[in-house]
Amino acid sequence: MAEPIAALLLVAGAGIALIAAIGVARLPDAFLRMHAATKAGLAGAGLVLIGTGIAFASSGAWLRVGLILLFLLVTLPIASHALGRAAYIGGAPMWRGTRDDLRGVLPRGDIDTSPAEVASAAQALPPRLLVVLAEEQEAEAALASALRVLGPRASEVTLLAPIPPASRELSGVRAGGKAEAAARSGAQRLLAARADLKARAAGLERCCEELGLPCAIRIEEGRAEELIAAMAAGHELLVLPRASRQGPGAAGSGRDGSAAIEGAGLPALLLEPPAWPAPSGLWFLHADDALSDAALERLLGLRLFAGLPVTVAVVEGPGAVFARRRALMMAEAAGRQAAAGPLLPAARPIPELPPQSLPAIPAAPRTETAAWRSLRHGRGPLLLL
Amino acid sequence: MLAAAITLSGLLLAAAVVLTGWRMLRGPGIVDRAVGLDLLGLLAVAATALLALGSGHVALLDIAMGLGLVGFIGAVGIASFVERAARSHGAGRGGCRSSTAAESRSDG
Repeated sequence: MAEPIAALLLVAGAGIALIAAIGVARLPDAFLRMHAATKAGLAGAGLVLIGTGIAFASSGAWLRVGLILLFLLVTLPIASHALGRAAYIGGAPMWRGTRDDLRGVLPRGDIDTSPAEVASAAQALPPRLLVVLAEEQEAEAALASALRVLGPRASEVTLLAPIPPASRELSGVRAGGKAEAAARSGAQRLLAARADLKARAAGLERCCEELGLPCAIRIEEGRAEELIAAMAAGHELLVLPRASRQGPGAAGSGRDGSAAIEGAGLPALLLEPPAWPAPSGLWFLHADDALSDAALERLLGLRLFAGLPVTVAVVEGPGAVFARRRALMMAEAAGRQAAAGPLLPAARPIPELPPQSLPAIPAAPRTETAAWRSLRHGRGPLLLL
Repeated sequence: MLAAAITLSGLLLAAAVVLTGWRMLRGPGIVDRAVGLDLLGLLAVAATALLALGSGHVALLDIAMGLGLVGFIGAVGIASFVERAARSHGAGRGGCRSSTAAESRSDG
């Protein structure tokens, strides 16, 4: 009886070790590879060791197997923790889908990135736009003007046209012969929505063709925020219209599409119909915290807005002047033209922006000040980082 | 049956070693190679256990224990080396101003 179990454990352990090795070879960055190597690797080696113990079935073998297992269980987490920390501090590149929760907690150097790799990665992932079609007609004009403004810098466009899932009255079970009618009307509704979106996407597609941009149209049924989150990878900027005042817009549920934006994890450009004139500068509202620093870093890293001068306004507070100085230093280090904006009282809405400037704010600040809210839920175009 | 299982497991481990070795050669960073080394140590432990089982010598398991120890020391050594190098490198250059600012903020 012991022999089949031992054989099974040996093969299972070796198989898991092979899976760990596939993970180490195939996963995209050092952190994910370490995750595969330590957890799956220990499971594989552990199963092989236990199988060995069962096959030997002697106290000497069990003692050694137990010791090795105990030893591995104690040391491997330490080793992998040290390696992960070293990878972070050494500045190992991170997969673009990873959220960096340690930003601002641990320093991040640059010795573990070879410039050639970084450059090739940057070439492999050109600035791509994810444009979300809204339900209102006039939103398309705004999206088209955004394509015209950003198009020359963008390399590809994905047009996402979400069809909201059927409402409960249509898809729910009904009595008697009405069920069939409901199913038919649901299918017809889908077909009609699909044809309608296709016709409207065609206008934007023509706009892309004029600019010489490759454009992919995706018409999908589902909740907008889930679709956006699923398609966000490989894009640099999410472009969507602000939700209309009358009802939920393309961004679906969630006030102003916040759910969609948070799910995507991308910087988002919110547009106010009917049209978006080309901005002549960026206006960043700094909330005097580490999150704003991180947001500013993302803003400076956006290739779609490279070249636009940045004005940094700071919410009044104990460290506001220093925050502004730090922000200006960051912008200069990134080779950007930067100017110091005003200090603004946190409890009052932003009175007025410089003309032709595009305001940018952190998408999820630690505290929602009145100044932040006036931009987030107000009118006009807005860049959420 | 056990002999067949040992052969099959050995083949699977050999494939795993090839993949890990490819990653160690490929890099691209020091840490990627160190992760490969870490996994290679674990694979060596498993392979030694298989060897002990195949040859019937329990004493070979002691080697597995030693291999596990060496892998741990190697990984921690490389990690501390990388970390120290990154910190001293970062302090000596102007380019890491934002990261040192972040560090001093988190201390305060």
